Amino acid sequence: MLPESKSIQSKPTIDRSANPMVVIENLHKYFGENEVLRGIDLQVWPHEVLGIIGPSGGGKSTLLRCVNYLETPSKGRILIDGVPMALERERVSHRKFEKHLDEMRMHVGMVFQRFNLFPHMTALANVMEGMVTVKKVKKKGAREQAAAMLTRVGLADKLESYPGQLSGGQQQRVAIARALVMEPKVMLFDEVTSALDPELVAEVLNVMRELAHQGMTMLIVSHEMDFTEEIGHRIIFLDGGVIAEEGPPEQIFHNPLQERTRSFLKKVLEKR
Amino acid sequence: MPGGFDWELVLDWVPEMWRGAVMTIYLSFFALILALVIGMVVSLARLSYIRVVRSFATFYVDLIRGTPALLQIMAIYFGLPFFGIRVPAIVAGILALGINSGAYISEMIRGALESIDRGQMEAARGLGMSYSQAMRRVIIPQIFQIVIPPITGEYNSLVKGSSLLSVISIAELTRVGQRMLGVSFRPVESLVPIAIIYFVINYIITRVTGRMEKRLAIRNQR
Repeated sequence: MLPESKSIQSKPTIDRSANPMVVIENLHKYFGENEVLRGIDLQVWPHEVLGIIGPSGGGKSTLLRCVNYLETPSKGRILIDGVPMALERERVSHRKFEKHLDEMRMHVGMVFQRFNLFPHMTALANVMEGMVTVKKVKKKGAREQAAAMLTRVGLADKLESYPGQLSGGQQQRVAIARALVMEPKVMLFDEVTSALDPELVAEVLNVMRELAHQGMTMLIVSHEMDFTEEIGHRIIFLDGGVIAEEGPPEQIFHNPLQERTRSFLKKVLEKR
Repeated sequence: MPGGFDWELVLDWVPEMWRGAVMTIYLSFFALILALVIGMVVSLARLSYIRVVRSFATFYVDLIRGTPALLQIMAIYFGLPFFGIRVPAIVAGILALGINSGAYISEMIRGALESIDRGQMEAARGLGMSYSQAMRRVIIPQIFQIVIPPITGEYNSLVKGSSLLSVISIAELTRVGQRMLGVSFRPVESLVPIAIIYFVINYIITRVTGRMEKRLAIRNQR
């Protein structure tokens, strides 16, 4: 199902004079003594697809999880569409801090490696949940929107199925629908195909490809190098908690400037 | 057994035993309800981000688990009037049993809450749900299936433990047996029927909750 040659469809153009959708400023993250992110500065523009690659333990997932504050940054700030993701903790009450964060998280959709669907709810209920509980959409309207979204990801016939009755690929598409229906400004994909059987990877990538063509701003951590090259406008190579190299896919994948990017890619490509 | 088994004696006491059984079921049922409420609140308190709340909940659990239930019953029954609170023995009994059992149930619920995959909370929070929304909508509905078996065990213990309330003169099953023995001096006729009634009550509880558990398992189809 994957296209033979890369970039057959043109990527949406990026207006770099616009205000960035995501700003990451001097981001540091420690786990105990261990500094996982060592000062990340990054901007992502509206409609841009940013691929994040690098060795495991390099901080890719942590970077993504810091963007929506599933991990609290030790230092630095995150802005989404110009608004800080979090208020300054010392200056506001715990309640206010959490409330602001909850509101901001609505604008940032996240899809996980392990799907994390709610097992006690049907596919439809999974997708409705955020709309009803967070956005306070009426159940009837939410049901219609959720059904339409599931149809869009090719699961019109699975609305009433429980996650346990779905394949990994189907579960991951439900998870994408669950995030999309909240109408986020940016989507984060954390190794979303890593837990899938190889034959189920394509159906998930197709949904993501579609999304990229429609102009969704996306940050993608992935081991699918071909796919990342195909849909990414820009790639960052994260190693040892820093951005070791950054550039367009053609540079990173074919003419990397840094030796460590080259040796990483060599190792990855050898494995196949 | 001098003179064989005295059926007549047992039959004479059937109405008393019936009342005792009803009292035992009544006490243990309301104690369970109270214990479930306490257990839920305390288990959530133990996961609170406020240290004082956490410490208080931990202290409660340690205190209850570290002291005899009999002592707790007497402390509540004789202690409350000391503070000017007068309650009927039955209320004191339900309070004592519920407070005792609540500590154990809170630990079962806490264990179940912690066994739910971390990704569930992350996915819920990622959608913009508050902590309490995520708990209510996503986490707590998933623990029912996990906590039913241990809570059934706790309910069985409550039925048996309610016999301790005989010390504060509540006419539950064991108390009836004691009185029967005191009057007739026939231990077999007095105690065997009582034991059978306890067994039957607990057997029914185990069966009913077992069926509930099965139904939940089908609904959740994991």
